[in-house]
Amino acid sequence: MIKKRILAVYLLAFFNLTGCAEPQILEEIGLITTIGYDEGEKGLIKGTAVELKIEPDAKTDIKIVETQAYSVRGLNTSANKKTSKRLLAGQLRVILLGEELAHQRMLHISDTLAKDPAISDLSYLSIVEGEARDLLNLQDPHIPNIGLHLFRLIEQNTKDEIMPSATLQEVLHRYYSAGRDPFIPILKKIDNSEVKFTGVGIYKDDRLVGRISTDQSFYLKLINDKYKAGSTELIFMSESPKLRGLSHSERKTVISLDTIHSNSDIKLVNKKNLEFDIKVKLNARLIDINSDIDLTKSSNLKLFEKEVSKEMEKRVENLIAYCQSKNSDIIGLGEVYRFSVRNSKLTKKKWHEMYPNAKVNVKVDFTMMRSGIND
Amino acid sequence: MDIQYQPKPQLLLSTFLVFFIIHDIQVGVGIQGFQRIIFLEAKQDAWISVILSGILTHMIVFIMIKTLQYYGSSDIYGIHHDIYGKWIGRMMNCLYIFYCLVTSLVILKNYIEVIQTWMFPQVPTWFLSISLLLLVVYGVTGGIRVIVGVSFFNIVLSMWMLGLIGYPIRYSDYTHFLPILESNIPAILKGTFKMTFTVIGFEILYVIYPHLKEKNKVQKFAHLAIAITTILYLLLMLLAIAYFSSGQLEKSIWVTLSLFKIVKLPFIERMEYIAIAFWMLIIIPNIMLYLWAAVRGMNRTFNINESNFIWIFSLILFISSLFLNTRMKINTFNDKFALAAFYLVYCYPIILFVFVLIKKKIKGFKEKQI
Repeated sequence: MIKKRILAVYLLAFFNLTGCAEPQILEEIGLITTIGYDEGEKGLIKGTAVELKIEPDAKTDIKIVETQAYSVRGLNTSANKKTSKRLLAGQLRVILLGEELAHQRMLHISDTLAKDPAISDLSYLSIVEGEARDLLNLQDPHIPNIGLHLFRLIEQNTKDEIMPSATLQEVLHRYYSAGRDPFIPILKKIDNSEVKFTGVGIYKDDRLVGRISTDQSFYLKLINDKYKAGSTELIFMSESPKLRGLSHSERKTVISLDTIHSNSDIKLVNKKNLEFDIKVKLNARLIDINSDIDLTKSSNLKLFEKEVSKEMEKRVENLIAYCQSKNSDIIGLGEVYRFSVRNSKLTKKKWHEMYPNAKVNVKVDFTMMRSGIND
Repeated sequence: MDIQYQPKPQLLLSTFLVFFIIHDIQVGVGIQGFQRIIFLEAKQDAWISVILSGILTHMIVFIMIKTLQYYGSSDIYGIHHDIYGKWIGRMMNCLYIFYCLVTSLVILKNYIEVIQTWMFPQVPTWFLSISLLLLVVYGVTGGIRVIVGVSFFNIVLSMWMLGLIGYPIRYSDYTHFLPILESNIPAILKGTFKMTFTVIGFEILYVIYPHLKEKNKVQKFAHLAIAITTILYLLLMLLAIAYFSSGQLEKSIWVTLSLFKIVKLPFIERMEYIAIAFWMLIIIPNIMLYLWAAVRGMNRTFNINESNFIWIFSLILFISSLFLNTRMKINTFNDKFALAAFYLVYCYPIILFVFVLIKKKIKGFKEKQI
């Protein structure tokens, strides 16, 4: 008797929550996989959604729906007026922000999207050079589904540690930290047939203030995060003639590194005059070098490692100097300050006053692990 | 009424079940979003508040069981009768019954609010309320053994949810904890005070005690339950602090559910939907236990048939659940309830214990004189 009752309680509980909602049949809904926002006229937002249709007879699986409204929510409503199927955003993977809109309204849009329980916090955010609408309307026979293409492009590059990760959760996380500013990768449409990752937009609070190149974004991740299997190419003018490149016209050295393994450590060394030490340790495999230096000799190897370290240091310093000039702390030095100084009561505003004058010492320690299967 | 209460042998429960009862009733709706409330007070030291609240709860539970042990096999209703006499005793019992009902209402309403915000905004309150309450009534009419059975199974069945914690750990930033002890002591204590809403539930001991077989083992299992609950809360608190930045944490209402928002499995992309639906299994025995405690109170105080009151109380719960309809109202209600619960659950047992001690002293003194 008792056992029956317990079982009945469970069964009823399950039926209750599976049975009481309205059904959402796949054939009757349009899944939005990608959505792009652009600045419209007079404060309107132009929304472009890629709708995935489950329709066996249709030639293409996707449909682009364009609408305008004053709010993010309003876009949903007005987009619905244009489609035969109810639009749902539960499968949203990529959120694109048009360049103009990204300057001012990034936070507003991310906040509204994060409020919606249907939208995953792991959706990727991207800025589009030009208009998001333009990018989503890209016509190429090899890209039948632009939504999926963008998602794969971003996912693949993020996993391969080429693109810095900017999911909704991460961007909001950075924005809502007292000593950190968000950054979002930039995509660009090239010749109406390709999409390319071209840089990273950096923010001061919720304002887009500058951009760094894809090369620089490598160094951003280097100090910000860890590499597990990254790769990069380094082109520099070596001081030592031994390392001068042969193939390059200006005799610059070109090296290519992969399976980069790194970790970094940021320390606050002077609280009063704000001085940070950044130490980066990085191991990598050398797969290509255009000089004929014999790296089996330990003195040569040391020289090589020192040169590379120095060059990397220079680049990190440049990156930080640029960010400081734009007053955007994408590295999160402010967080280091916050947790190192007791009762700092750090706010974003306070930090942005202190940050540009901070002194940063960079030390990179590069070790070559191996050089492929041949010496 | 009798002060002593000896349930029939078939209604006695193995003592180890008290572990499941207490752990289950403590973990309810509060766990879905307690982190923010504590964080607003104690900032990154909120986890210290959680530990302190655990220690405090241990002390209160110790006192509660000590009080009960003076009477052998009695519940709070009998003790009230003994201490305060007939009329004041009845008044206190009514207050306690009222508290149990309000707690049921808080659990019911908060859960419905979660369903409506996260999953089914279009499903009306009355529908959810009625279907949940019917289930509860069904369980409570089955008696204490059914209720305890449900709470036992629900803990076993919801173990897997702990595994979801693994996902947000990958995105954690441990520097969020630093500097440790930056908040001052009053702020941390205030956080401990705010934990009330989340940790209450163990007061069910006052009512369930006569049903336990071996009274000398109650301390052991009750404390074990409290310890496990505290560890669970501590874990979720640490995770929330590490995963969210301070601004985010201050904004999200259901932090634990938001933590699960990033769990992604190959066959199901959004795990929190499952978690919320599953939460029903955790909620239902909670409401059952409180409703049972209220009905038992009516029976003990006024000697009225229990089964009628199950329906009457459920109707009251249903009607009041319709009036608490906006987030604002629920929030204010929760806050007021938490304050009242603090006095009733944390302060009152100490007072009751002192009264019982005095009473026993006087009694012993009188017996000596004779």
